Amino acid sequence: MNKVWLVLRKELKEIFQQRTLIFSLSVFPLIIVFLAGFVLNQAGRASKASGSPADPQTQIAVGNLFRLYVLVEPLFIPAMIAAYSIVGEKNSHTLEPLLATPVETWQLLLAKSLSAILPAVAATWISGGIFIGEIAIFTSQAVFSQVVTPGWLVLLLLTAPVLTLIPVSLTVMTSSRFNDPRTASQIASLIFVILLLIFSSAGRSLVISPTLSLEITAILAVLGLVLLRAATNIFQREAILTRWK
Amino acid sequence: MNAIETNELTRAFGPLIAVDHLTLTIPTGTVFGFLGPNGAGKTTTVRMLSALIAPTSGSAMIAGHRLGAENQVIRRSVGILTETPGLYDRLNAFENLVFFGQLYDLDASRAAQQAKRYLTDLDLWERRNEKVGGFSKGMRQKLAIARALLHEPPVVFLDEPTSGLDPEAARTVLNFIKTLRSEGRTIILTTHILPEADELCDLICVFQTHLITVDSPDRLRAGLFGRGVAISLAGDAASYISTIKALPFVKNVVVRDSTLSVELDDPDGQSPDLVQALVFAGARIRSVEPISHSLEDVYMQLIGTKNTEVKV
Repeated sequence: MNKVWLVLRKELKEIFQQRTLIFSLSVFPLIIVFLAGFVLNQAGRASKASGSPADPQTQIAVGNLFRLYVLVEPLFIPAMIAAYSIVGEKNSHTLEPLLATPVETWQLLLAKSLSAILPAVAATWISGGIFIGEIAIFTSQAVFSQVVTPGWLVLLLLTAPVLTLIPVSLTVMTSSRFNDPRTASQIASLIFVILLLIFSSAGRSLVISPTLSLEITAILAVLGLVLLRAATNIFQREAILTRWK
Repeated sequence: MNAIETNELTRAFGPLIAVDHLTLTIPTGTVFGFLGPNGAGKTTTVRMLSALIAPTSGSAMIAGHRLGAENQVIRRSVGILTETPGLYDRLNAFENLVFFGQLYDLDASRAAQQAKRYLTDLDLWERRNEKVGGFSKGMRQKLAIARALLHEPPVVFLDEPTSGLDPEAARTVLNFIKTLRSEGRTIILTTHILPEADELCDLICVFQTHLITVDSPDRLRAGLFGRGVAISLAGDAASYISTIKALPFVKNVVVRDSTLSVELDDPDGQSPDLVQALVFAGARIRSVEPISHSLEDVYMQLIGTKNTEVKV
């Protein structure tokens, strides 16, 4: 595990030195929390100005929409980081000297995956926390209880980390074929769009109970592990050196 | 003890055979030149011997460890300079080396100590805190060589170590390789710069998918071109051919302008008698020099022959 930590530390150091990447990663969460706060605040103000009580249904609809957007972050952020991490190694020809060391490929893949997962989970939880704060500040207790449900909290705290396995695995697979990080992450993103559509339609129509959230988490965990297994098969010394283009 | 032994080592990529039944023995402490045209399978061989890819068939022992069964130990026992240096541009020189040193199982303080040693040896210590992205090609190459040596491997693979370097940087690297040889390490040098191979290598292997030959540069020259002396005369050289051919130890003689190229088994021992015979015959000798063939002549002869064989 010492080598996992070593590679992870190096990866995080490199990630935080890439200003463009950090900017790209920060924009989406910042827009979500800013827009959520702005719209919820405006909805409250408009109601006060007209003298009528704030419309809880509008605020609930807005809250439900943005709480789903928060859950998109674990799909989008790890794909970008993993693409830059793996394709970046390909482009700088560092994979061969790295693989020549006695590091195990699983240690390498785990470190690279964690370097994509940890910032994504941190960003998701931070923006989720800010969003909860905005709901608490700008809406009533009744709206709060409708938006920040136990089911959604399970999704935020448990499902979000599990969800990151999917983009990381897909990006490892696509990165083996592409030399441009943007292409690799965009190809992986196609899958996210489909997942997002399923997720958002389910999220709007269903009351997400904690049980349902746990079931979703379990299904995604199985899917993530299957994909991770496939990615592990691709991420082998032999395959990287002879088949990756 | 041999540093490397291969037995019928073969690697195929689908229908393409990159390395074909390679059987080699590289004694410990040798600088071993691995020569061959592009696409000959040199990189594939180096990758197999450094446990990066598996052979399709055959076996090998590297630093006393069996390929396939002890790959992790082999990776600890070899250092490799890859064709492109492959360094982390956003890390500085010291961080790059310490990172790789730790991956080679050195603890942090030992990795730092080794990084300092090799950065100093390769004149990079003053630049240790600069990001590698700003380094020149020569500096990157030197840093990559330092990385290959951090864990003190007994076997070192150097792929084109002076490629693209200016003469001064190339000289630094060549001198450094000589130092490594004096430390008793086995160095496998892949290069297209044949004068460097001639200067450094104890053994030369000419390779094109399969082994063409292995020998010392001098024995390769003698085997292919014979040995002899070139005698430059004042006057008509052709008129002395009969005098030379009459000498029992002369194997062959060729005249070009005013120079006689005489093939001998033992130039050092036989050339005084040859010179004496010419002087007695009235020849006025300007100079006597050993005939020398470059490694490039040897290489072209061997690869040319090989290519002819392939075409036929």
